[in-house]
Amino acid sequence: MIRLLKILEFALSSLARRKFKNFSIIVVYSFTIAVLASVLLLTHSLKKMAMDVLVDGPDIVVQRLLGGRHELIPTDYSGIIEKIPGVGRVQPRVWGYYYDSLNHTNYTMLGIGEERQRFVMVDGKAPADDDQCMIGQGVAGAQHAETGMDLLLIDGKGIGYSCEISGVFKAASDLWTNDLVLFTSDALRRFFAMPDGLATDITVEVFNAREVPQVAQKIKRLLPDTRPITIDEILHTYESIFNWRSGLMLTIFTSSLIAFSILAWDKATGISGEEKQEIGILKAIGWDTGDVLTLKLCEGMVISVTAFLVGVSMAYVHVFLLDAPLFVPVLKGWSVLFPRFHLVPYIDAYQIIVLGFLTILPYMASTVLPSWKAAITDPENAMRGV
Amino acid sequence: MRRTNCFLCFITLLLLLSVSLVGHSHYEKRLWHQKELPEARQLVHRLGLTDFALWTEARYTRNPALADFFAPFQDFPAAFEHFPSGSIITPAMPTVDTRFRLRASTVNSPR
Amino acid sequence: MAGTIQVERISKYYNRNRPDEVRALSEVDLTIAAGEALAVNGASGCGKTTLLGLVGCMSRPTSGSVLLDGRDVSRLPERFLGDIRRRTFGFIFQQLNLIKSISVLENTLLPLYPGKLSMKEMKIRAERILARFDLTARAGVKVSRLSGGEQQRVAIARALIHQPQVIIADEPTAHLDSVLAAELLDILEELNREGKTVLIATHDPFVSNHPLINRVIRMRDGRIVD
Repeated sequence: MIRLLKILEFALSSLARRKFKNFSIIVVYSFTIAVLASVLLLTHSLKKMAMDVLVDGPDIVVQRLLGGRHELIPTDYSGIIEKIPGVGRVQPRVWGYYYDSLNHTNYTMLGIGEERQRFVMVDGKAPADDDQCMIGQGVAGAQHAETGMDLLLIDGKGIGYSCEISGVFKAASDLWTNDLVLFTSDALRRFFAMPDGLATDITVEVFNAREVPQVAQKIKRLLPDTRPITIDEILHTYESIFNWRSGLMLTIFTSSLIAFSILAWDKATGISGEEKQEIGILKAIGWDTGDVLTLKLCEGMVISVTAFLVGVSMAYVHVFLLDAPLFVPVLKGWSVLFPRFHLVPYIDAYQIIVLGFLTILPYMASTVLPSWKAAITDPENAMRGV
Repeated sequence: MRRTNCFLCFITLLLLLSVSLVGHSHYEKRLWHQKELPEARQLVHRLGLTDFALWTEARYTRNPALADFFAPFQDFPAAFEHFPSGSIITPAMPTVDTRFRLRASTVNSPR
Repeated sequence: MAGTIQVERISKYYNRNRPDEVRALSEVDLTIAAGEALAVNGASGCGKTTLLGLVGCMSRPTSGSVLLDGRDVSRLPERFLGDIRRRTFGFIFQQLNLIKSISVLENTLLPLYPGKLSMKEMKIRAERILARFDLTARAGVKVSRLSGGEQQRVAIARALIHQPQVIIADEPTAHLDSVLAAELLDILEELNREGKTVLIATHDPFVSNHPLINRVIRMRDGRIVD
């Protein structure tokens, strides 16, 4: 133990001798780890939040497909679905998208049914009649609108349509409601000029969660032109969007890994003549191979453990305390309305450990392995000044 | 052992920082589970939401869970992706389950 | 007294069984008594350094054995050899082999890092030995800023810090002027009087003729000639 501490002391003094070089390595290395860890934390948190919240979405969404594309679905279908045993409420929905050419933004228009009770996470009220609407924070921001003001839109027939804003979703729900404009279903059908007897899709409630796949199968059998999407499939989508193979991960991960390999490669190939000579001297004055390797291991460990801890902490602060400002432009793409979200700090210990192994071990190896060759030579070489 | 002590202190500080961050995450998670999550779930349930409102530029980016299989490819399977978010999200691939179901339905179709 | 070295029929080949095979030593026998001061004389390339390396456990003989106080050390595994080397021998190299970018004190401490002494004990020893060689005032100075003579003294201080029984010096005067060479030999003589075994390889007659030396052996082509 005392030997290890003494060698650590010597390792620290050798590192301190090349202050500038080692400090720059720590900075670059921490930054690389911070970027990698940020991606992991961000995607994991988004995934967990999706899993947490979207579980309470509709059990089955039934779409109609025509030529492989989504089509309006006849509302009569709900009668057929309702008869399947175990099925609860079946609701044809009216919803769609709207392009606001003034602000160059897309809104998601959603019709709500007859229930006109108070909503949670809303400042104001739900639309009580056909001349009222409720909007998300993003829409309110784009339109500079607030509760009580009028929202001006152009309807499906090209005629201006004005409705009173009865409520605005609270910022805490941004991740789900940012671009929403809520009308009553009747008002929205008229707005879209959607023919009667048709709806966008149908949501199906299933009493027993374990029967969802069977019900979906029955719907598919009874109505072959439909595509039932179960809640499991919806969650699966979000699981796969944010997995490691998705584009965000791949682009950032590969580029930082490449940067990191360049750093490691540079170290691995470039053990300097000075370092080689030092190892020779140490061997000559009585250090054995094990001592020299312990020294190099200590040097590598000091740098990589410091960089790892600093990097992961930086990533945590970046993603969860500062709300990932560096990644928002990447995530945002061409979205004009992008929610300001605050992520819940879900941390996957497994991911962090894997990240640790993937970054600390290669660095240690790239410090120790090149020294190995210098360390196993006979100390006699040092005597000859080789 | 001056340097060793400095270093060990520094690492201990970093570890304490990490531990306090883990503590912070537990605190925030609890807050989320107690306060916001129940409301958010209620809202999602009431509105029948299926997706995050993250990417608003196209149907399949706004509602990836509901997008049809071909949506990311638009009209032609080899068409270049138009939107940057298309590179972030993967197209919703049919699950094994779905494929099985589709095949089963052609066999047992009532028609 | 400990420190008797017996060399029995040792040979050393480099690049064994290859076209560029070199026979550096062949069948050398030598006994060095404890407390003796021995000079190994000969032209360069005659095997002096190889002999010193083998005696000092820096490399292994191709055949034959090296006995240290009656114990065969030539077949021991590396980690024991390192330990023996550290405890028994102090080396003074032709090229000093100091790490130039660290201080005098740190250079002197180098051999003690892998050992069992605490950092405090190490410092006490180093201070004592630096005082002996008039280096106390220079302890914190980087080696690269020292004069040649001072560097030489640091190298000796480092060789002696772990209180070795045997001092091995390879061409110690090669880079020194006559004044410094005399100073070095005086120091070695003093150490020899304290009972340490001294083994010097040299082709400098000034060294071989110094009153310090009890015995001179001559080497040619890897053999002892007289």
